Amino acid sequence: MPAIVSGSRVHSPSTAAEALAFLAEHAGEGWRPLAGGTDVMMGLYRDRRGGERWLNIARLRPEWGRIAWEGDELRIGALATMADLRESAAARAAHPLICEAASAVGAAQIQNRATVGGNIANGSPAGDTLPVWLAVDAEIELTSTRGARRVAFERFMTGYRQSVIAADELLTSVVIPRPLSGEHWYLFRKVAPRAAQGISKVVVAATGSIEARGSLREDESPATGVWRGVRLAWGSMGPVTKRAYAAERSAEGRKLALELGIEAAAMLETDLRPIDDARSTAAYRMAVARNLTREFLSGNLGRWWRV
Amino acid sequence: MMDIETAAVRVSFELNGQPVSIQSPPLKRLLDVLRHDLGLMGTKNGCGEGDCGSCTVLIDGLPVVSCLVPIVQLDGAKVRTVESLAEPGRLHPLQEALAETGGAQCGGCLSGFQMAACGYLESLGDAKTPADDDTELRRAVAGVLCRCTGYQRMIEAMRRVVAGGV
Repeated sequence: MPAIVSGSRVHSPSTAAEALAFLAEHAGEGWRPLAGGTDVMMGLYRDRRGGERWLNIARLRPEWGRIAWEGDELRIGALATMADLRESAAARAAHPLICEAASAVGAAQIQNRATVGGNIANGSPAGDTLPVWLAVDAEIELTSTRGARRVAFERFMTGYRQSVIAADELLTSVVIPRPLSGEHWYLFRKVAPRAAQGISKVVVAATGSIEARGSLREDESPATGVWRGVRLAWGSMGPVTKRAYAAERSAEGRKLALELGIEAAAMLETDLRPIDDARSTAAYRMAVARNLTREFLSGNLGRWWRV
Repeated sequence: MMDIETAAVRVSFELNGQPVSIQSPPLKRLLDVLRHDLGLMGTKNGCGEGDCGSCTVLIDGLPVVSCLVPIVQLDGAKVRTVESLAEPGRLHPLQEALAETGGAQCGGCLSGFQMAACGYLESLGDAKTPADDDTELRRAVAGVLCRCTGYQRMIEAMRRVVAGGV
């Protein structure tokens, strides 16, 4: 029998309060949360790791897996699955990017187990939902027996698979502000070897408001308006998910046009430093990112979302 | 509450309609429990990394890859494997359709495909109205890799089940 199955310890609290009390008591002993297990189990068996300590929180979904509006905020419980997120009307109302990203994670068999909190806390630079949280100004809620605190998603990850989570804390929610009313143009694009089950070479969540004279028709090009509040958030382009601030700023107040797209695409390097790795090269990643930026900002690639 | 120093846990769940209770290391894969502890060899071990879909089973009606499910999370669940589909002397309608279309070939992915497809087809309930262009059918089984059939015959089999009812 592999060491991993015989030498690992698993603790399965039956309530959220019990889970937090256990972590507080055993902080520093290396207990890590086990939720849907889709990444943890893959890594354990691939690397034949044993002797680790896992806090099995999967059964706490009734407490930590709800997706619901609370006033002007959408709270997504960390144990909501990608399938929950994909089907959630509340999440779609917060931003369709959320549901599109959830649909792009693995395939149905993964989406039925993989959790929102796992995708974030796991900290893979290629996590498909991560650029979305950045693009929609999400906050991460961390809970311990000391209480709950919130961290802007942008400050949550501190380096490659490193985050601000303390040893006695669990990632319990993602909180998203109500969107601004108006007309938005957005794009979620995952570039991987195939549509299902791929691991991203580049993943982008992009969105911005379109300010136009009069109301635009569903089939109308957004190119008759100007950009406001553009977000270009990138995953798989470095150790942590990043926004392309310089390119975003260059679009502010400008008409959607190819000229703008080309200009902004050339500015990506100010913020992004992609790497060569097993999945792709820095040059390919940057070329794809430039193309996506150019086409998105010129209004050729994307979708309408009206609030 | 489980003693944290204990290397094994007792897990009770329903398997293909029958109650099962086993003693197992908590992180043992459902796939291994099915094949080695319970002798149900219909669920196939493919990549072991959640990529190929060959080990797909239904947990509480939802398709999942059993190579990534730790047995400790199965307590109280309802599990269905490919062995639940046919009755003695009578194939499941999806299996009939796969035989007719030539969608069953080497068999490596076949168990996983059937469970992914059944999970989707059963979720349609009475409202069997997937998109005409097969988009939904294809998405439902996109997590299963098949190297023989080219997929067309498998999708055709699903389409026949939709047309005829499961």
